[in-house]
Amino acid sequence: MNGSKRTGWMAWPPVVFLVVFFVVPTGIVMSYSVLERDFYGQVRPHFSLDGWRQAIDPITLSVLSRSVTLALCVTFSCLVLGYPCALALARVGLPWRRYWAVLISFPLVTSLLLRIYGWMNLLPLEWRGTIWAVGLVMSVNYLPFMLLPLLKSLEGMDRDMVHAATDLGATSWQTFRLVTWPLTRPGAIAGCALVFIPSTGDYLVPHFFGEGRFNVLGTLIVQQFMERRNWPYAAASSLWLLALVCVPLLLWLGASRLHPALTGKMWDNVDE
Amino acid sequence: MNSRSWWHCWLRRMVLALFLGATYAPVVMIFIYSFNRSRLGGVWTGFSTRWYAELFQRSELWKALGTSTLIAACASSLSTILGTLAAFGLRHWRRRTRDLARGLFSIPLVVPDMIIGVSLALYYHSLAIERGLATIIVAHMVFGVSYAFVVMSAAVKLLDETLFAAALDCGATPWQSHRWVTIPTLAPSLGVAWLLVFVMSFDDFLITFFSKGLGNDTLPIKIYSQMRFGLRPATNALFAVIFLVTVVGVAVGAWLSYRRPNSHLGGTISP
Repeated sequence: MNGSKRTGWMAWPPVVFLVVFFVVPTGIVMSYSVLERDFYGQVRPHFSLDGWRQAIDPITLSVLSRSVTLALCVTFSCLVLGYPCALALARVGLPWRRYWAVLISFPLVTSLLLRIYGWMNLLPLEWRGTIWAVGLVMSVNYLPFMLLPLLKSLEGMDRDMVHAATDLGATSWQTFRLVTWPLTRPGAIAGCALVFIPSTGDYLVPHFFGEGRFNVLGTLIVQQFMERRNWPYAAASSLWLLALVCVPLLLWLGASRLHPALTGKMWDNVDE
Repeated sequence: MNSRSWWHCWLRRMVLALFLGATYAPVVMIFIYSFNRSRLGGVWTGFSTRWYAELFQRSELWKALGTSTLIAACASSLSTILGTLAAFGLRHWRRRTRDLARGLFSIPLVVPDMIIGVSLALYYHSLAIERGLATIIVAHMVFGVSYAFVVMSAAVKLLDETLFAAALDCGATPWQSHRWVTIPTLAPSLGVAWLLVFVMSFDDFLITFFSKGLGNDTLPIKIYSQMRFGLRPATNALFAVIFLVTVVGVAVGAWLSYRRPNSHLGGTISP
């Protein structure tokens, strides 16, 4: 390809776009978190640590720990619910498995508000405001994110390994623990990351099912940003959220650099 | 052994049925309660279709639908163009910078919407930009470019470059060979990328919530403000219509993309 060397410039507009509208704004959040709040809900260009002082007080920290607990519970229940389902699906014959996969991923294209409203119709009023209601709705919402990578790694697994283990006298539990689970761990890790990350910053489900009694980072940020107009505090809380997402992500990336198999086939399309 | 495999088969069906039940029970409830005669949700008083009839008279919903469609169409078109440019251009970057750029394109996919929303709202404020339609479109493009890039870079990787070279050898100008060879070959993936970003943008609530000014209510924003009043059959009817439209849209999209199974091999080279 002679002329193709010259097409390198084509990537510049999208890269510049993302730098200007994604990287720089994220930096702006940091600077707003150390500004002073004025009387009218705006910010004054003075240095102040008030936002951070609020963001490390016990109330915010309890909201933070509630967010982490909720995200961990949702991730765990998605894994526990999703794994048997993926196992069952992987055994379905091929034309039907395709239809099942479409049925599973279909909720992802329907509106999130629609699914929430359906659950509002379904769940008794008394359940609202508890971690159970919020966790249940979030788990069902994020289940496809867990199921699809799991299904992919189960499909890619060599079935003969399982047969070999059974032939050698392993019980079904031993086969699962020593063969199936290690072989599908990359899919499970990808699924956990895909569920954990969005569930830390979820706003709509905790808002509608928490009814103000179940505050997580998402509801705190919206409340402080929109209603109280305490922007330095909201910015500092957003940085908590960012840290919450970045820590597992960096751990995952670091682990995958050491063991490339960990990332599995999830990013096949992006990497060469 | 035989009874054990029967037991396994039965168990598998139970698991799948439970999963489907949990996923679709809320949708079924929406359909049932949209026919409720009572003005308030939760209590069944009788069958009625009046809420569907009422939907057509609520002009503010139609206006919100128009706003949503406009924003989603602009955001997905621009994102698809930028994502395709990136997929083509990055192939010729040096390895290190290319990996960095790919990392940049995948971050918006994993960062929570909340962070994109808050950071853009503060950014627009710090530059004193009036928030309106354009700011919402730009905000949706932040994730749109990333999704389009993922779809298009997979398509570009599969692209057979000898087709382009053959067109040049046959005397086509570079522009002609792109117009009549590269773009038709990529058309199915371009369609998938466009539809994906359109759906994401149409359904987005949180990022729109932060980047919209006064007015410019999209459909999700409008519905959100209605949902604060609790359960209403009228809202259920609206959701039932949206659900059916989504089903039809997905079916048409799937039909269009499966109609020509080998289209990525360049079924339509001749002009």
